[in-house]
Amino acid sequence: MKIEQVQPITFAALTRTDLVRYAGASGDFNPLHHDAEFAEASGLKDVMGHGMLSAGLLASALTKWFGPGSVLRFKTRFRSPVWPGDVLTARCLSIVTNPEGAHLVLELIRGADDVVLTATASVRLDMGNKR
Amino acid sequence: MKIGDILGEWDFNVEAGKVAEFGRAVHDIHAGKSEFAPPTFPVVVSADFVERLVVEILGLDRKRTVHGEQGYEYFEPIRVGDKLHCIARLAGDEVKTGTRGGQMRVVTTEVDYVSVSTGKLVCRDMTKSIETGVVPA
Repeated sequence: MKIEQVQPITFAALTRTDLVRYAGASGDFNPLHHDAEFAEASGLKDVMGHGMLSAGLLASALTKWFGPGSVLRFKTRFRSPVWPGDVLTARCLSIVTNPEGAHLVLELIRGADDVVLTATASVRLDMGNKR
Repeated sequence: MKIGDILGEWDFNVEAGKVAEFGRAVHDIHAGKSEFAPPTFPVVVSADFVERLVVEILGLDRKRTVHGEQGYEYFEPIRVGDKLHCIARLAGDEVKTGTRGGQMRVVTTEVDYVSVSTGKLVCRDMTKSIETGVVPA
C-alpha cells in the first residue's frame, strides 16, 4: 500500500443545501447550521457546517479508497468550522500497513492548506470489492 | 453524576432508507448501494440522545459548547437491518485551562452499540464536548 494509491479527493463547493440535507439525514437541527438569522445573531458570519458533516466527508474518502465496511477505527479532531462555498479536500498524510490492514493519518483541508479536521484511522484492506 | 454512570439507554433499528439518505448527505459514493452504513452513521443512532445530553443531562450552554473530538472503534461494520441496543456512559468530566488562559469544561461520553441478535459489541463511540468560558468554581 503506497500513498499514491490514496489520491486526494476534492468535494464540490459546500452549499446551504448540503447543510440542510445533512441536518435532515443526521437529525442535528441546531439552528446554527441552517438558520442564517440565528447564526448571525450568534456572532457567526453565516450558517456553519456541522463538524460531523466534515468528519463524514473525510470518512467517505476512506470508504471510497478502501470500500464500505472497511473502517475499524476513526478518530477526528475539529480544527476549524466550515462555511457555504468552502471547497474541501480529503487527503492522506501517511499510510502504514500492519497485520490488520493499514493505519492512516488524514486531514480535511479548505483550499490549498487550511486544515479543517485532522484524523487517524485504521482500515481493513480486504473490503474493496464488497458491497 | 460520576464517571461510569449510565446517561442513557435506547434501541435503534438500522433502516435501509436512513442509511442511504445519510450516505448521500456525506457524499459517499456507495450511498444506497451498500449493506454497510457509513463510518459516521452512529451520529444518526445517537442524535436524539445527544440533544438531551447537551441541554438536559449535562446542562451545557449550547452557545458556548463545541464538539472537540469524535472517535469510533468498530468490531463489526454496522449493517442495514441491524437492531442495536445503545448504552451511553460518562467517561470524563474535567475543567481545564485553555491555551488562552480561559477555563473550559471537557465532557467525554462513550456510547456502546450492541447487536441485539448476537449480543456482541459492534461499535464504541467516543465524544468530547467542550464548554468554553467556564467560570471557575
